[in-house]
Amino acid sequence: MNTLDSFAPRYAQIMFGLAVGEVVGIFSATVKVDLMGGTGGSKLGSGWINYDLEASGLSGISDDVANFSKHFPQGSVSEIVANNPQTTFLSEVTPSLESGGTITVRGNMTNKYFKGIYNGKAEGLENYNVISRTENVPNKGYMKTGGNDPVTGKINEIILMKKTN
Amino acid sequence: MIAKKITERIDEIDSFESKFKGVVLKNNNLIIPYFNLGVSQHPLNEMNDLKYLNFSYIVCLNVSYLAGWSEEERIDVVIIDGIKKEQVYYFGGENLDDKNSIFNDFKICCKEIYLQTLDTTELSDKKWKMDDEFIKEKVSDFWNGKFMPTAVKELIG
Repeated sequence: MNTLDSFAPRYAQIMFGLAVGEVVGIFSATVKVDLMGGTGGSKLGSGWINYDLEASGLSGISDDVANFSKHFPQGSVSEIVANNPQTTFLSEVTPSLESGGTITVRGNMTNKYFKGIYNGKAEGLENYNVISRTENVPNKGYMKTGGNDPVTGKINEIILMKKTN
Repeated sequence: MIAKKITERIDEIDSFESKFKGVVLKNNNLIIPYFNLGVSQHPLNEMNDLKYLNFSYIVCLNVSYLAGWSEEERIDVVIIDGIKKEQVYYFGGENLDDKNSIFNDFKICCKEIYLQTLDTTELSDKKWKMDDEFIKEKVSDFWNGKFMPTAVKELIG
């Protein structure tokens, strides 16, 4: 099965609740990914796909971030949110993000992967413009890995926009 | 693992999901005992994904700036307001002494900082569980300072 074949039915299911195979014109839909969103489906609401090693359910894709582009063809994703990322990911998701697409990353400065992005040192940042950097954003009940312990501490946010090719 | 003082790549240490207890600030030196400190792209683990140290210390010498995050007020509370250098270190995680303590996350400037491993330190691909039978007793001894190297003890003596 090529990438496009595997991509289409899954998004038809997620975006429109269709059974596999009922794919009609979904590529105009906005694809939004909750990256490393934890166990189960996305906690960000409907229309978000949870991409995490422990994702499950209709709106979840369980895989390593290294395989992101196998699930999302080039330029097919318009928005990514990564709350407290637990690994490096910018280089892996960049091909799948459309030009002008955004990545919102929130996290604590004790999280080395977040800190690398927030401080402008992470690999892959050269493909992005920084739209905003905000200190101390509200904690909307984020959870640590495993989903049992709440995230504490100061949470900062950075929004990146992919440069136009 | 052998007891070792590691000064390289402090920024590659991740304490976001670690636990700490019994923090000591004395003689301008700050000692943070850590369980489950994460390392990657670091001398102890060169890979991209985190590996976890069961027992270790973060040691900061001649602290010139120290702020602790107040979860209740959602502000940084400055504890030592000296020279704030360009290089700021961030350490935190879960404070087992008081989850609502102002010492939840630390923002630190200091003259020297290092990771201190112990003879009892082990590295794991997965997070250690404090209540696992085989490690429970060691955890208790660690929090009580039983494994603290003499050189570290002397800093706060």
